[in-house]
Parts: sequence; C-alpha cells; structure tokens
Amino acid sequence: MLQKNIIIIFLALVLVLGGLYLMQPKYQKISSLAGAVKNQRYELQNKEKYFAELEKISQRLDQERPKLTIIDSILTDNKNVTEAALFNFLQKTTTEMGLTLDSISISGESSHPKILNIQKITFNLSLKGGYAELKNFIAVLYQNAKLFNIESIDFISPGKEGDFSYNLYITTYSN
Amino acid sequence: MAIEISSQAEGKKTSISDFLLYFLVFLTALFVAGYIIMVIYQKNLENEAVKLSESLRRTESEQELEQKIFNYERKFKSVGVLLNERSNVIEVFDLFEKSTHPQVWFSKFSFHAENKSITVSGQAASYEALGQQLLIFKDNSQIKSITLSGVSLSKEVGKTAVDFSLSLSTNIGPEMPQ
Repeated sequence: MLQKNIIIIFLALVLVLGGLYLMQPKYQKISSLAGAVKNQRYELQNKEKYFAELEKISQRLDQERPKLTIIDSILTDNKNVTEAALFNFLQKTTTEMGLTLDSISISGESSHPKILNIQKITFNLSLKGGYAELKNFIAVLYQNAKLFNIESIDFISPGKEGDFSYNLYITTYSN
Repeated sequence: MAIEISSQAEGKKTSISDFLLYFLVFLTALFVAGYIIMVIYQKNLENEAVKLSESLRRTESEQELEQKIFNYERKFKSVGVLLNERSNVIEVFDLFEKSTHPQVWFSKFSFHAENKSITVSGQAASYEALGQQLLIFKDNSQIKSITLSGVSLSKEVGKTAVDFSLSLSTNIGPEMPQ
C-alpha cells in the first residue's frame, strides 16, 4: 500500500513538473514557430503572386521589343559611345539636310535636376543654310530614336543674299 | 461487527488508490505520447520554416527579372519627363509662318525653350503694318504677352520702313511623342 502511494505521488509529481518544465515551454516554442511559419507561408504566397505579375509584365515587355529598343536608345548607358555617335550623327545629318556645320562642341554636362542618374549633355552647333533646310534638320532630329531637345535657337537673316547663320543649343541624355 | 466495517473501508481505499494509480499511469502515458507528438511537430515546423526561408530567398533569375522590370519602369518614367520637357520648335516656326504680316520681315530670331520666349528684330513697311502685326500676334492664343521695343524709322537711304524689336512670351507646349 505504501509502495503504491509512493508511485502515485511520484507520478503526480512527474506530471506536474513535466507539465511545468517540459510541456509548457514546448507549447510556447511550437506556438511561436507555428506563427512564424504561417507568416512565411503568407509571404511566400505574396512573393509568388508578385513574381507571377512581374513575369506577365516581362512577357508584355518582350512583345513590345521594338518600342523598348527606342526607349533603350533614348537613354544609352555608355556616355562615351553616346558622345562619339552623336558627333557623327549631327555632322552626317546636317550635311544630308543641306546645311553647313561650322562648329560643334559640348557646351555642358550635368545631372538632370528632376531625374536621378540621368546625365544631360548639351551641344552647341553653329550652322549655315536655308530656313527650309533648318526645319528639315530639326524634324529629323526630333524623329530620331535618340531624344533631342532644342534648348535655344538664334539666327540672323543674311539680307538679300547668302545663308542664314544659326546657333543652336541641343540637349540629349544618357543613363 | 467492527472487524467487518474495517475490512470494507480498506477495500474501498484500495480500489480508490488503484484507480488513482491507473489514472496517473494513463495520464503519464498520455503525457509522454503528447510530448513525443509535440517534438515531432516542432521538428516538422522547423523543417518547413527552413524550406520556406529558402523559397523566400530571391533566386538569381528572380533578381534579374525584378531588375529588368524596375529598370524599364525607371526608363519609362524618365522618358516621360524628358518628352514633357521637349520644346516644340517646329510649332514656333509654324506660328511665325502663319502669323507674319506680308509687309513685315524679321531679321533676327531668338527662341529660348526654358521660358518659351521669343525675341525678334525686324522691319515693317509702315507703322500701320507694324500695328497690324501686333494685332495678329495679340489674337493668337499661343502668344501670352507681347513687348514692343526699339521702334524707330529705318535709317536706310531711299526706303521708308520701321525698325522694331519684339519679345513674345508663348505657351507652346512640349513636342508630343509619336
């Protein structure tokens, strides 16, 4: 009988102490772990939705490849390539349009005040030629895939004979 | 009689203690089984947490995809701003071609896109022609204000003309993308 009572007391103690020092901490650990896993599952779901959406956008962008090429050429990544190509383009276009390019120089380079990581490159062009030729040149410039902006234009009439003298400040951009 | 009562009470005590013992043994077994289940459950949760952390980590291809989209988003926004800033010089020329009086000619022209201002110098055949030119500009909705300056009779010999300078403020908008 005494032995039985000792076992009862021992088991009761085991249950009480086990509940306090084993079960309760384990339960708390599992609760917090389950909470964290639930959050991670939610995050994963969101991540999957997010990347599915990005994938759709990417597919749509790939379908619009020609337009993206224009966007890419507007903001060329390499500044040196841009300047060399621009000098060549401006020289070639002025000649093709029947204008005489007297001089061309880079008058300034600065960061765009409103857009981060965009560099403004301003060219100064001195040209000679007819008014119609200048208009054609500007039209070609504005139709070009590279974005040009005419900041200012000054010209003086030649009088009865001769060509107009133009002074243009043209800005273009690089990434 | 007293002996009988004592024997019955002892029997009851024995059955209660037996019941309590079996109940506690059952509870202990339940406790051990529950603890084992909890250990297994915790292990499973830990494994799942590790897998989820792995899945949540952005892979190289996901980073590339994200970079590609963000890059184009930034470019679209930038190009939008740049197109909005682009001056419409052709429209300025068209304005002058359509609005110049037949007896007025311009010898100097200056356009500044930043403040959309135009400064011109020229000659008019008469004060009347110059007045009509000003009225034509005034009636044009693309011209916000006109400032006339330096009006004088031409010094050219044998010619009656009026020299003048004009400053025009326009509201010619940006070149629309095609």
